[in-house]
Amino acid sequence: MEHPKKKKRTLEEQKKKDSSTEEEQLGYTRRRRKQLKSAWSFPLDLTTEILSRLPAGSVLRFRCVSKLWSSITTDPYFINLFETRPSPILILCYKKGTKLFVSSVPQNRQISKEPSDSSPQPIYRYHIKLPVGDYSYFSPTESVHGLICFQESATPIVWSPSKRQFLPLPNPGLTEDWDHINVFLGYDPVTSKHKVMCIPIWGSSNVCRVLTLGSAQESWRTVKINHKHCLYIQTYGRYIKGIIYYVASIPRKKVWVIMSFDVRSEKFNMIHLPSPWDIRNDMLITYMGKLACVYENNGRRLWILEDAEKHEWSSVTHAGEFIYAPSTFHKQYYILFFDPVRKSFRRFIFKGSRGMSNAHALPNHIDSL
Amino acid sequence: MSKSEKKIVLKSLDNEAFEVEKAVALQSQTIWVMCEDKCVGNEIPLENVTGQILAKVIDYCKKHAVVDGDGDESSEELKNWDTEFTKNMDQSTLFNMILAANYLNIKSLLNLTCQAVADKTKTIDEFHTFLNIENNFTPEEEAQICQENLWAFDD
Repeated sequence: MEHPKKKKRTLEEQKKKDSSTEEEQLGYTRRRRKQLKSAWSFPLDLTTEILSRLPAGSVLRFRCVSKLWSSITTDPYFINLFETRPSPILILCYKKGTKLFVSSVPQNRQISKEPSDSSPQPIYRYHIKLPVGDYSYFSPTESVHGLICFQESATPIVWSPSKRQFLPLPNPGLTEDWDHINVFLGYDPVTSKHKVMCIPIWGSSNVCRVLTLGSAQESWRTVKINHKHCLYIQTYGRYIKGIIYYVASIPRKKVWVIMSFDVRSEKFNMIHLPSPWDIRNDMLITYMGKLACVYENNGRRLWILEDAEKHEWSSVTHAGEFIYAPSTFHKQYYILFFDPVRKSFRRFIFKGSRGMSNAHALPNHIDSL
Repeated sequence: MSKSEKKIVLKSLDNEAFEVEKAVALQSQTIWVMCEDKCVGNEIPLENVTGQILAKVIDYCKKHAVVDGDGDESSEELKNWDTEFTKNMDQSTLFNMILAANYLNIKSLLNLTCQAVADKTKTIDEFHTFLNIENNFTPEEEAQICQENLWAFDD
């Protein structure tokens, strides 16, 4: 209790010095004392509870407030607590010239039966210069545990939207085949580390390369692929609970399959589809914590992967909330959320800059500290 | 069980008495333990909570005692009720609600009120009144740490 006494003394000294505004000073002292009294009765663990619920930007800003707050918010316990708060963010980004324009909004809103339009207040909105490159083809991965990855020709670049940082990785290339690669991002929940996995497209390689972020030696390791498969340009990965899934085909057989890559064990697996179809233009999504294929033929159908080992899928026609986002936009950008079960929809409106832009909507992002 | 046993009296710090259903009050782990101990009669003194705050806590417990365990529709309704419940509370009430929820050990109310404070707070000054903030950085340390998180200040 040393601190409040000290404060009180200084204020009293000040009061004596400045008698002309005594009345004001008294008022100030009273308020100050009251503040300090309540400050001391507020327990530290509850302060931690509140701080962990703030947006990442506020937490980082409040680190400058005091040593105590700085030590609370840099503690691994706190960082872990912060990242488990279920407040998914929708990130919207588009590239214009050499800059990346980023907007983020809370994804979950009050659900109403009425169709609603809103221009949500962004959690953050900024533009940032991209690392040097021409980015003829800018295509970010989904958000995996706070990070997003994209590539500039054959160089993967890791992006932290909350920290506004880019980390260009070394070129994973072994031979010429590695000029055209696909980049996947995953997270090992046991070691709490991200891994980036690269495979050359067109199935010309029987190895992939893996880099563990934040490890002592950040370098590429070669990992054998035990199931030969082909990837096409623009193959998107879907990371769910320690596994990366993506669409591939078996060479010379024209059969489409789902490949899975276990981020921890670095082992590949092949999963057969419920029925043979050209899945290339369809999508893999996360549905209730499971992998699902959106199959559009006579209405929308979802195939949900129930058991990867047994290649078991279940099927539903109405499920969850679908997020529709256009890939290009002009001035205004609409994102539509549609829930076929509740029969509700809502629409986010964003204002962009002039001219056409290629936009990317990345849902379920969690800001990291 | 006789009628009187189903009811319980909660007495606030400022001696305000509230008669509530036992099922309502037992959402508080603290009260639950007190009742289990049988060291108290039908009247439970709550030394850390004022009548004004206790009334609100009871409102919350009543709402949640009725609806808990029902289907999906009502949990959505409950969520909306929670939002309305904290919407018009000022910071001072919210902080006192947090303290009360912590003391009474009502986890869901603690989550709700902590989240409400976090959602409503935009600047550090809003925290000054309630939390222990003592800037004990040296000017050099402060400059360095602010530099590290510089971008966070630009909006």
